[in-house]
Amino acid sequence: MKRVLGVALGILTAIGGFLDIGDMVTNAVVGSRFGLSLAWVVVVGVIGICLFASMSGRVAAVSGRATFEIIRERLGPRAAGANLTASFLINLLTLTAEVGGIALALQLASSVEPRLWIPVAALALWLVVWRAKFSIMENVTGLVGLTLVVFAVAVFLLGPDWNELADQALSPTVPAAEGHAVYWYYAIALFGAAMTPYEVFFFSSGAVEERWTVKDLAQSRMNVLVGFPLGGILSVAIAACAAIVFLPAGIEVSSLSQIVLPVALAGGKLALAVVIVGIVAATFGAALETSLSSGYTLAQFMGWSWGKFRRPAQAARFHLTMIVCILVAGAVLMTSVDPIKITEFSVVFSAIALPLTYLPILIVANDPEYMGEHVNGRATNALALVYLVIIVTASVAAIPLMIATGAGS
Amino acid sequence: MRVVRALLGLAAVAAAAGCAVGLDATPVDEARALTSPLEQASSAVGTATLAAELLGDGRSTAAVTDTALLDQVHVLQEAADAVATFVPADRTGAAWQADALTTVRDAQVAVAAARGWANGAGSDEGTVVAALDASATALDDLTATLDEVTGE
Repeated sequence: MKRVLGVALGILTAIGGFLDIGDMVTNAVVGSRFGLSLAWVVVVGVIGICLFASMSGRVAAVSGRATFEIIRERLGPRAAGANLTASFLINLLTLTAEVGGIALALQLASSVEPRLWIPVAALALWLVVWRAKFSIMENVTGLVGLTLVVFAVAVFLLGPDWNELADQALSPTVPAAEGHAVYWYYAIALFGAAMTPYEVFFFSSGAVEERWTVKDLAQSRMNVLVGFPLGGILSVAIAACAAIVFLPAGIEVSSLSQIVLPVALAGGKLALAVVIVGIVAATFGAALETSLSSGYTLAQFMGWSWGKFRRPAQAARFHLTMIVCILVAGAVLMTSVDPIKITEFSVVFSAIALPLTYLPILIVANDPEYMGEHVNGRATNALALVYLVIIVTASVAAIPLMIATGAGS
Repeated sequence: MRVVRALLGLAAVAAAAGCAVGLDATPVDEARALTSPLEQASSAVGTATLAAELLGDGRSTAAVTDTALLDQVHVLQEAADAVATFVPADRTGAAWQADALTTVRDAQVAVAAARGWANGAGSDEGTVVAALDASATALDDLTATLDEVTGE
């Protein structure tokens, strides 16, 4: 019974923890402009993140070591250093977007200007990273983030034309008002939002934090293979809400405040309160994960003592890295830069940097020296190679498309 | 080598000069340039109307409506800036610009009034929504006029 509860908790946490500010904003923007014609990208992204997370979780559980320790050992300090630089900067950009997301969500609850919430959010983030246990932190934010299921409920309450939604999703076409370049730019943004590298750093380092072994592989697989796809359904629900309410009215989503309006239309004040709680939980959870990922990546690369299972005094540089990153994120946001713009850039740059983290994991997952009998099977490798092609193509195409479309404008 | 550099320099200057707005822009180019901020403004007014109606129906809170309206004030400011910084090539373009500026500014007034109402100041819901509807109609009419020119 305890084991079943453990599996259920892991799955629920994975669903609630799947969404972050990047998923919410990108799906709502895409829904308002393209309807569900890019829903297929969420499916591709979810399969990709399942594959990526299950490989890195297996590497961590079998070897007992986390991503960057192995990347450095396997690729050497120079290649791993380049990898670290790109991953660390993208992670910092994502952390900044998440802290901005917390502030914007709190503005929705209070109507107080987000710049006043940023120091509060940063302080709360640091306190939780410093004081809370890893499992409590992960489970509480994941479970409260589950309240975002209200987006799926809202889709039903809005009473859409299901045939039209199905037609948009199953026979995707580029709307007349949008060009092909913009369509593919947003396809890459959605892909990057679903496959953010921090999720994998967090997942694999979390496996070490929770002392996973080979015995825990089945549970980890269940968390990923059930939790992430259900999280992906919530992503599509956000896009569907925007497609139902905004697309016919010619309204383009450009702010977080617009994302909650379809939920209010469907379910009134109660649903609105629930969705705001969910957005705060999802952004706060993702901010915790990105803060920790910044500490994990740098400490693992440098060989410093790391982990929430150690007291802060025993992992001082790990905690210092997180504090500096939280301060930098807060300082950037205090310049009045638009958190939504940062979010839009962070998801695209995540797609650009993705091969740097994906390829080393794929190499290590095939290395018998680290994995023994648990190396990738043929089917996994076939799928992994298909994804390598997709990831590299998205990465190479992202910047030219960003320039050609004026970042999707 | 100097000749090549000089030619490259001249080519760069010519390319930059070609990017200048208004010098030899056709009416279609001008109409397209103004349509984009007008669509942005229409989107902002549409969001403001939805937010105001939700508050009026008791389905939203004052904080959410205020935030949504504030965000649309910023969107309208961007649209107004885009129209104001447009450089018309002739009198027709100048007339379109003047119409677009007036329409976007009217939208700003309507959204600001809605925000005042959401925060307990100003008129009633009916007046606020009527002003937003009028603004949306004016934006749609002007966009339709420009669309006829562009043929889109």
